[in-house]
This record gives sequence, C-alpha cells and structure tokens, in this order.
Amino acid sequence: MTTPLPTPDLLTRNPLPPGEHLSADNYLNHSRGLWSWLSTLDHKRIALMYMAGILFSFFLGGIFALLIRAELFSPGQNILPQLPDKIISGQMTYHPWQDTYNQVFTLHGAIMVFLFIIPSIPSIFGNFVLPIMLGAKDVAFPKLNLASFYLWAAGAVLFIGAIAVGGLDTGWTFYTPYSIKDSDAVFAGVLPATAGAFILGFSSILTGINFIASIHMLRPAGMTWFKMPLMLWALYATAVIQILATPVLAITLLLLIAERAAGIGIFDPTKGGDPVLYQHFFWFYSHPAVYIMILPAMGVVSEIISVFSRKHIFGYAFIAMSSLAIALLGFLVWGHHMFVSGQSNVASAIFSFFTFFVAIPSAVKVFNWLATMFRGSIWLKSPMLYAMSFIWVFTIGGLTGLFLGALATDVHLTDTYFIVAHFHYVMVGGTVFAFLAAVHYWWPKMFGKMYCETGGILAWFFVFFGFNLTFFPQFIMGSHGMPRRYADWSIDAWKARFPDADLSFISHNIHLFSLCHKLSTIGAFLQLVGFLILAGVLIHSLVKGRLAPRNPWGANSLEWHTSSPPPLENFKHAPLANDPYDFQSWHWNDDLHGFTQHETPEPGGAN
Amino acid sequence: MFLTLAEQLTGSALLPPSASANAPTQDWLFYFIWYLSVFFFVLIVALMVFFAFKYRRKHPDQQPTGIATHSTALELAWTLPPLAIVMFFFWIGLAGFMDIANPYANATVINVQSQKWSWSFAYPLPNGGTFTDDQLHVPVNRPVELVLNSTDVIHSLFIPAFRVKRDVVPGRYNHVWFKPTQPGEYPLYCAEYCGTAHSLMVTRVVVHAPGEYEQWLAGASRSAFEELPDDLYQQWRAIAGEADFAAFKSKLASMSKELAEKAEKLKPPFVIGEEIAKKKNCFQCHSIDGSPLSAPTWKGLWMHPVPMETGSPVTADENYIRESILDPAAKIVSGYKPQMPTFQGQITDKQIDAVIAYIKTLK
Repeated sequence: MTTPLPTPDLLTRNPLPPGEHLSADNYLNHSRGLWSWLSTLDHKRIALMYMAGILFSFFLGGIFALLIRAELFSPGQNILPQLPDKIISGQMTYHPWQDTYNQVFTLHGAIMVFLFIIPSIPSIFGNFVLPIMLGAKDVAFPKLNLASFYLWAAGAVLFIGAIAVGGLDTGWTFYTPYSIKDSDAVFAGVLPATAGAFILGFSSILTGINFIASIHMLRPAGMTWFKMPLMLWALYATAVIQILATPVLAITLLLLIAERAAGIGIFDPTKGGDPVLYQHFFWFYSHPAVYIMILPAMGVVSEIISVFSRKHIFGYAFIAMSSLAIALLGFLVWGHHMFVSGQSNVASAIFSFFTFFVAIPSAVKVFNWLATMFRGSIWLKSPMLYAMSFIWVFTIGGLTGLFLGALATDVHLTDTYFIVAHFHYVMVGGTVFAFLAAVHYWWPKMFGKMYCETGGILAWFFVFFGFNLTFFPQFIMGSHGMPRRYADWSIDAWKARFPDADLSFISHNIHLFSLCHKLSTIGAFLQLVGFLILAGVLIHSLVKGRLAPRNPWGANSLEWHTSSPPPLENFKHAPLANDPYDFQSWHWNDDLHGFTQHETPEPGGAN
Repeated sequence: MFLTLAEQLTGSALLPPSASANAPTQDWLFYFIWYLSVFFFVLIVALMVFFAFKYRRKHPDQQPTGIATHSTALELAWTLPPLAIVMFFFWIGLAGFMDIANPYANATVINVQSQKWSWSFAYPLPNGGTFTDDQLHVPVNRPVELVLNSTDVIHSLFIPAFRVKRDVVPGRYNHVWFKPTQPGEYPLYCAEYCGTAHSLMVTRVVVHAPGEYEQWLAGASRSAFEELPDDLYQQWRAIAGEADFAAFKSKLASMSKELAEKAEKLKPPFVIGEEIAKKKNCFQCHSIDGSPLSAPTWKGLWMHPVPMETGSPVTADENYIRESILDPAAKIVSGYKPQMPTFQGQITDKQIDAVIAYIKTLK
C-alpha cells in the first residue's frame, strides 16, 4: 500500500507541513512487495498486519453474532438448520437444530474473546504508538514482535480449523465435564480450538514482555515514569497481566487436552477428578483477561478525553496508579464467576469482598475524565464521540457489575441474560468503543489520510444506538429469569413435558422474553448498518481521503511530532521528552487543516 | 418501600414476583443497587453531556477556561464514599446469601438428580422409601433442602421466583435451602449449559398450600397397578389390548369392593408405560415413529434383532429392555453413542414392566 504523491491541486488545498518533502518517504512506501511486509521488523507494519487479521476476526465473530440474534428473533426454530450427522440404514440423520445454535454461540464467543478482543488494542494500537510515544525507533525486541504476530496467526488458523472440523459446542469457557465427554473423536472441535487458544496465549505473553521491556528501557532522557502518556501506563499494566495470567490458561488448556486425549482424570469425576477445579484454573486467567481487554481501552480514553478537551488530564497520578491497582486486584476475584458452583461460603465471601475493591479504581478514572472535561474546550469529533460513548456504556457495564459482585443478587442473576448484557456492555461498549475511538484518533497518523467526519458520525450514531438497543433489554429479561445459552424459550418445551397442564404460569415470561429478544435483534442489525457505514468511510479514506497533517487534533504526545504517516525510523531527529498533556504550543492552521507549533525546527519543544 | 416504588416507577418490576422467604432481602438489595446505579449513571452522563455542550469548542483554536490538573481532596471524595457504599453492598449481599447457603432446621429433604436433559426429584415417603417425580413439589411456609447431584455434566437448578440457583455437579452433592411462601406454580430452569437440550431442561415447581403437600405425596406415590396383589398384577401385566383390559376391570369389580375401587383408578399397562416414558423424558432421545434421533427408535423394537457395536445382534426381549434402562452402557447399539443415563433407583421394576408393555404396542 502506498501513499499517492499529492497532485498539484491537492497541494494547493493541502500544502505539506514545513520540513516535509514531496516524495515523502514513510513506513508504508519505504519498501514494496508482500515479502517486505511478511518479513518486516517494523512495529508499525506489524501493527497493520495485526489490524488486518483482527478486523477479519471481528467480522467473523460478528457474523456468528448476527446468526445468534437472527435465530433468537422469535421463539422456536428460525433460521438455523439441522446439521447432518451420519447415515444409518441408508438414511441421512441430522443433529437437532439446537446443536447448530450451540456451536454458533460457542464460535461467536471464542473468536471474539481470543482472536479479537484480547489482542485488539495492544497488538494494533499498542504496537503502533508505544515506540513512537517513547520517541524510539521500535520496540525493545522487534524480532520477538514479529514472532508474536505469527503466533497470533497460527492460533487463528487453528481456530478456523476448529470451525471447519465442526462440533465445537462447549461455550467459549470449555467447562468440564461437558468438554471432555461430548466428542466422537479426540480431534473433534475442542482440540483445534484449545490448541489455537494455547498458541494465541504466547502471542499475548511475548507482546507483554516486549512492552514492559520497551517502557523500562527506551524512555528518553527526561521522560520519567510520571511523564509518560497514560496510554503507556495502561499498556504497562496490561502487559503485567498478560505475563502473569496467560501461562495459567496455557497450562489449563494443556490439562484439558490431556484429559480428552489420555483420560488423566484431573477434571473427570468418574475418575476421581474435580470438574469445579477446571473452573478455578480457567477463571484464574480469564478474570484478569477482562482487565487485559479494558485497561488499554481506558488508556485510549484518557488520551482522547484530554486532547479533545484541550486540557491537561486531571488526576494523572491517580489514573496511572488505578491502572496498576486494577491489574493487581484483578487477580484476587476469579471466584466471583463461581458463586453458585458449590465452592465454600468463605471463599465466596472473600471473592465478593475483593470484587468490590476492584470496582473502585475504574470509578476513579471515570470521575477524573469528567473533571478533565470540566471547563475544557470540547471538540466533538468522532474520536471524542466514541470516547464519550465509552463513558456512557462503561458506566452501565460497571454499575451492573455491582449487582453481580454482591452474593445475594448474583445468585439470582448469574447464568442469565443479565450476565450476557453486563459483559457485552463492558467488552463491546467498553473495549470495542475505545477500539473504534482509537481507530478514528490514530487513523490519520497511521495512513496519512483523513476520513469523512460526517460519515464517521453517521456510523457512530447507528453503532451507539444499535448497541444500547441490543443489550439493554437483555438486563431486563435476565433479571426476570431468562437463562443464557438457551437456543429457545418457546412454550414447546413446556408443552412437551406437561401436555395436559395449565401453562399460564409461564406465559407472561414468554411474552416478556420474546419482546426483549426482538428489540435485541433489531439493535444488532442497526449495529451492522453502523459498521458497514464505517467500513465504507475508512475504505474511502484510504482511496480518496484528504492528506492528513502531522497533528490534526492538537495533541502533544510524541507521535504527533512526526509526519503522518511516520517515516520508517519514526522520527527524523530523536525527539525530546515533553509533557504529553500540555497543548499550549499548538495552534490551528487553516491551510493544513490541522495544528502546528510556532517554534521551529525541533519537534517536541523544550520543557 | 423500595419495591413498591420500583413497581410504580417502572411499570412492572424488574424482578418476577417472589415466592420465598429469602427473596425480600435479595430483592431489597437489588433495588437499592438499582436506584444508586440510576443516580450515578444520570449524574455522570448528565455532567458529561452538559460539559460537552457548555464548553463546546466553537473554533478549533479555542482555549479551555480551566487549568486545574489535580486535587487530592476530590480524589478522596470520589474514592472513599463509593468504597463505603460498595462495602455496604457486600455486607447485605453476604447476609442474603447466607439465607440459602446455610441449613435450616427440620427441612424437608428432597434429593435432586439431574442428567442430560431432565430433572428427577426423590421425595421421602412417611413410611420409608422414596417416590420419584419429574416436578418439584414443596410445602408452603416450611423449609426445604435440596440435595443436588448430577450423573453426567454440570447442570444448575434455577427457580427465579425463589431467587435460588445452585450448580448441580457430578461427583459431589451441593445443597440449597429455601422456604416457599406463596402457593402456586413456578418455572424451574437449568442454568448451566449442558448440551443439545439445555434450553429444554425445564420443569415446574408446585408450592402446595398447608396440608396439601402430604396429600399430594400420598396420592401420587400410590399407583393403582403397583398395589395389585401379585397374581392379579401378573395378569394385568399381560394385558395386550383394550378389550382384554375391559374384561380385566370387570373381573376385578366383581371380586371385592376394594378391588372394585382399585379397578376404577387402573389403566392398561401400555397406557401407564407411555405416561412413565413421558415423565422420565425417554422421548427426548427415542422416537416412536421410526425416525432416528440420538437413540434407537422404539418402533418395531419388540423381539427384533438389534445390531450391536461389538458382537452379534441381540433380540430385544424383556431382559434386553430392562438392562437397557438400568445399565445402558452394557450393550451399545451399532451406530449410536453410549450416552444414555442409567435409571437405576429412579424407576421401579413394575414401572419397567409397564414401559415394556408400551414398547410391545409400537409395531
């Protein structure tokens, strides 16, 4: 992919910034050909390769989501077919249609969690901006970085294999004994999926190592810990979790594979094993994993709120420390996924107690963001719309977590749609909205092109409204008792069991559930419209977008002190450390349609 | 107070009607958190939207009016009070949880067996023995203890109206306690994903008014056919058609008053067999019209040779059917998976006889 040389007409409308040449050499056009990409050690190209794979995974996981919502539009079997089973006495037999549903929701969850959400912000935006924010040429270990990408790709291939082989219907959580009993063959669906997740884990671990090393070793003189942009604190805290927690998942998956392939008996009760032990091992990773998902998102929001309020972030030290607090406290709460599993009351009480502690640092961040906006100069561009949407939906997601942290209310709400709504509010509303904010914020830097702002706002509107319509009704049907992972809620199940009974005790529920499911499905398809519009806006930007100035937003972290897109080595001259939240030196330039600094020539400025 | 306010404000409550003694504490906490959440959400979003409008940038170069970058006082103000509030949530949450997680004295103990994909409840009979049913019957205003066990994968017993949920785990016994407070019927769901028919693993909870629980148990646990004297039972067992049954009934009626009463409640063995099969959830996997589901069809099964996974075909006689019910893993039909749960302890010998009589009619 190359940036087209500006035509004379484009030049008149968008003169290049002082110091940039016509034949701007940047990381995109520096070398050509597929091999130059596949063998690159440049963190920026690696970020784009991740972006291609991760966006494809989001698309794939999204297809499965739409299949779920289309199926659940009304009770009974709707669009999902019965999959063929085997031939008996010359006749083809079929699996019940619910098996298809179970595989669809499993694949949706597994793809979204492992292939999309966990790597999304760190592997794309972390990789792209972390070295540049440090004023460095690259991460500490560029070859390790490329290896991390190929590990991600290998894990992704195995997941696609799991889809092809079929039969994966355990839910993304692979709970035992169901996940060790269900298969015809050892190599059916569960094996490639767990192998894929195992390999993906290493991508995560190695990225974490790279980021920690980079932040420790590559900060320029003057950039003390408390002078880094908060995005780096967020990535650092995330990396700590990636390194400490992911190995536990790896071992858990190996034990699961060993149980299936060799019957070692650790989780199988018929062999003296404990199925609940699996849950402890699984959630010991998977709870911290959700903080891997949300901490980078909060880092993005801190950057954007400050820049688009044109005001120094409020409470820098508290926001930085809250990231670390969340990372550490996040290791103490895994049992809150297991309050009804039969674990001891003492354990449940302790997990509930710590769960409330980990809620507080997130609230601290939200209040600091609001204080940043107070008396700021608020610029309602697409990145800011997504960042503000994050505050709206993350607040709902976080507050609904309080219902779940309290034991008495969790007993009623766990394993219902209330949980589904809660985690989608924090994972989609949280991570995905921040991901989209990051896309809109760093797009000009990454590709040197602006996008159509009106299109961006239109897409945002559909995504935001559609998202809330999809998931808010799910809280209500959940608290009314609609269990999760149900293919159906129709009266049929009741009629089959109690053909002569008066079923009026269930009919109110069925009506309520049906209404909520309908609203939810409509919301999902509105989100689809939004994402399609967004895809159009971004493709149009690449093809025909206006050239981007170095600093369209007036930000001050170091990536905005180099050209858009940056040169291969990120900077022409090594920049000096600065206060990333001091925007005073930047002023709007109408010709460039961006911000410039009055002082020349050294980017960064003295501090 | 919170509850009625909630109902008034939201039209219909966010929770289904409750019917157990532990529910009010749980519901109180739910609404308390709800109102606090609404308060904080509205506060945060209102401030955010207000700031976005009041301080909106009219020109890209417009400077902000505020310069404050930190305030320890503010940080403490929005850290410590929320911490206190959530500690209160923890405390009430723990208290409410203890209501269903700790034994009640003198509870009626009901054993719950779950398997893919049905529930089986074993009620202790006053004179010893147990009666097994597929629905949960409980007495109102008396504590109940459910002892939960699964024979295969993890399930979860969920009764929304009682605000009760507990996983049912193979290899161990989990317990849950509650006291129903409202007679009526309520749904019971499986709340832990367990495979194909997870969403079909539902049943009904019946809360009996005072005195009626014992009445129900006495009536349901007695089945006319199981109380026939041995020689008459053997005759009843052999009945193959409606005409024979009518003749049997009139014979009984003429023998004694007692037997005449029994005859009134009696049904043919093949009818009883179908009822039992329905209650025990056999039709989830076995069809009666020849279509292959996840288990062999019963149509044309009786006295036919059945191909085995290993070894030579076996004739489907009484012994084969009985063994298939009590020890299904002993013989696996060719082309099918060994996934049928055992009904040992959940079905009596006479009930098996009735099921066999039913299968005989499926030609």
